[in-house]
Amino acid sequence: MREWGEFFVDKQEKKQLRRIEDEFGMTPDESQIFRDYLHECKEQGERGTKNLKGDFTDDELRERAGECLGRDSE
Amino acid sequence: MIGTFNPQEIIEPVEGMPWLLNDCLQQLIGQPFLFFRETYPEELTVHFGTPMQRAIPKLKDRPRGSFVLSVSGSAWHIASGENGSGWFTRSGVIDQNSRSTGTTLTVMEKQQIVRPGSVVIGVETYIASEVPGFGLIVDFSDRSRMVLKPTPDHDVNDGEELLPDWELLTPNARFLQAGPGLKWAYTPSDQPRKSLT
Repeated sequence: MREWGEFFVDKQEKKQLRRIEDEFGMTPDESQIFRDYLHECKEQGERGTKNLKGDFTDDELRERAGECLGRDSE
Repeated sequence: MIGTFNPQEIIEPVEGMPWLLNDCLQQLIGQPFLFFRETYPEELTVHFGTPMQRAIPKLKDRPRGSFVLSVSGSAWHIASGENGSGWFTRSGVIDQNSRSTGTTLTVMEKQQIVRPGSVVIGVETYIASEVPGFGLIVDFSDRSRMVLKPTPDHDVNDGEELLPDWELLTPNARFLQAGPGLKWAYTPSDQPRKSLT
């Protein structure tokens, strides 16, 4: 009961996302918007091609970041 | 009660000092719980305070709270005050007899695990034992409790930045980042975040 050990947290997708956010010099406020933006993209059927879950590749994340923030990476 | 801590203060990256981290968190006390929300990539966020609309058209139906807690690299449990026998986790509902029902975060958003309008009556960090880092306990007025616990990162490449254990955006244009490890910082949310790795 109430064991923690089995709850694996998949950190790879999160680290990939933060790497791209850092490329764009995102602030924490912008990161929060960007993550919600990506979630909405998936919800609206604009899925990524990285895997069957519809996650985004690096290039897809860069493209979405440009759309969301209206600027290129630094 | 916030005590003597000024929520607009800036605290550059420090290590340890749990008493100061707890002082910093007291600004959550009295804030109403708004909703749980999944964000990319399948991460739980908890929204408190006042709902705020977004300027981006794609997010017009997706307001945020004035405080946003992101679980980031932590595992989490939520004990519902409405249904005290259930502990909700990323994987679903846990009770003494069953481990998981496979509830997704999206489904969880629609369940009243914490009664809307409940306010935060307690918030406290603790130092996790298995993985060095700050855990977090949030208590709500409907007797619900949320617990975050740092988890290990088994797949770290050379030079790779480690994830924080949890993060809190505040309405004071400040951003609290806890972890990795016992490092934390409380810095402006409108400037690029600092690596604590």
